[in-house]
Amino acid sequence: MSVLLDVQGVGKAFPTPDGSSLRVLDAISFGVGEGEFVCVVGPSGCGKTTLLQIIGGLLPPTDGRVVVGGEAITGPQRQMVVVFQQYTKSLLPWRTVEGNVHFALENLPLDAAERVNRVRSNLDTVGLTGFERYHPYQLSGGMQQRVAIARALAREPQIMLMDEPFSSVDAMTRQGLQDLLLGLWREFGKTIVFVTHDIEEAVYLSSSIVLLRGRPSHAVERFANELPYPRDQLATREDPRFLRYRRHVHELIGTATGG
Amino acid sequence: MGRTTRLRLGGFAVLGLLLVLWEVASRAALVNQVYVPPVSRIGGELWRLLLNGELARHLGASAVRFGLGYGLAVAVGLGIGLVMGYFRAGYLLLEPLIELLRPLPPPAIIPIAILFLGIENPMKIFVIAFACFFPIVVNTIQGIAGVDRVLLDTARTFGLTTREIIWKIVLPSASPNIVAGMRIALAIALILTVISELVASNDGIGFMILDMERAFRIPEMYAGIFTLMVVGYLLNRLFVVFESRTLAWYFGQSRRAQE
Repeated sequence: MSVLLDVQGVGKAFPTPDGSSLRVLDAISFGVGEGEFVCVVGPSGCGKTTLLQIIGGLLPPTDGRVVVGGEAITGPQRQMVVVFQQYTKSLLPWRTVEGNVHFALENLPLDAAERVNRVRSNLDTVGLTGFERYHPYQLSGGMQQRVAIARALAREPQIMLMDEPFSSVDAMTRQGLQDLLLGLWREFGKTIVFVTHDIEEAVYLSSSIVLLRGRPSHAVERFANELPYPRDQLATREDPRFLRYRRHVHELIGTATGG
Repeated sequence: MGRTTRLRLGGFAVLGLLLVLWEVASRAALVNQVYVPPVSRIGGELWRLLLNGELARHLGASAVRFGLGYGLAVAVGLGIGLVMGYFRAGYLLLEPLIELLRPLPPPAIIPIAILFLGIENPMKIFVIAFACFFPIVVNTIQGIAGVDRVLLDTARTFGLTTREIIWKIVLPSASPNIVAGMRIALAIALILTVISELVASNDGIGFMILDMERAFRIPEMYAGIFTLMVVGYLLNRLFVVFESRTLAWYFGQSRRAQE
């Protein structure tokens, strides 16, 4: 398996109001192979979002670098998309559902028919056919996040970066979205880096887990998740290996609740 | 008939009753008939001015000034507001100037405007534009400041250029504020149109009112004032239609948020 995305010694410090600097991330290194589903898990406030923004080219690292396809990135890359946690803020409220997906395609060299085609097929993929003319505010949270996923898929990226995308929907909806995402991943063979503080979510979804801990955060461990695919909300969560991984992660990052 | 409808009709009844009182008071000579002529006479004069084209001539002259002044203010106000709202350097460079000019009551610049532009249309258009500029620029800046970070990051991950970000994200997102500024400016434009015509003019509705007063043609003077009321009312109605069309998404969203 070839390494598609390589995080090499990434650190980040932010200036503080009193003139000193606050180090959030320290010497984080891990590689992501093509087609992997890597979950980055760490407690709330450990800088996961910052790390994802650095990987996505939205924020320059203080030290280290992110290499994609052999080259160090200096900004957002065409083959990567980011799905944000706050779907209500990342959708364009003045555009309809189809307008929002179309938005992602407008600066790609595609002809009009192809754009329309991709809008339709990707909305179908996430199960939103029939809602094309709705505005985001007319949809539930889970549906809005589906729009964001369809929009990301429409760009046909190699890598999807996801920042706690399901953390602000209710538990039932979250499980539905998790299974939807797993289905998409297996169908389209994307490489996914998924950041979450929810340990069970990470164990349920990932093919590999990176654990962050400490202040500043550093990667304490990286291990392969051997749970078989396809996964099932009941059977997988009852699998003894699921429970072992869950315990292991809990013990390593030192949180009892995962919240 | 619902309570709201009844009260609304009641509101018109209040207006009608006052006009009847005015008519009666004037005819019964309870007030000075010369200064307060009966409404019916004012109406008659209004009708006459309407038929002989005099009203249309004055209204037309005012409309040109109003339209050009307001249009100029919208264009320049939006442009400068964008430069100041989106680019930090633009804000820092222009803010002191804007903040110094803004508290100046706009009629105070009429003498300067006359000095440089004479007493014809250029002066009047400039004065109207000057006064309308500030609410538009201030609201545009405020609207742009409120554009969500996540929305901008979304645009960046899709690789949008600054130009595309401005057109597709910043301006639509700021549009509720921009439109609010335009609405305030609309009322100001009408005020300055009349003031500039009172100061120096030989046509326009403001001139007509002053001219009739000087000629002691009091009913015609009132006819001009009534016309202004109706014009102001219609402009506002027109703007409400424009607003509800352009901001349908915004009002829908706000309604949903209140539920």
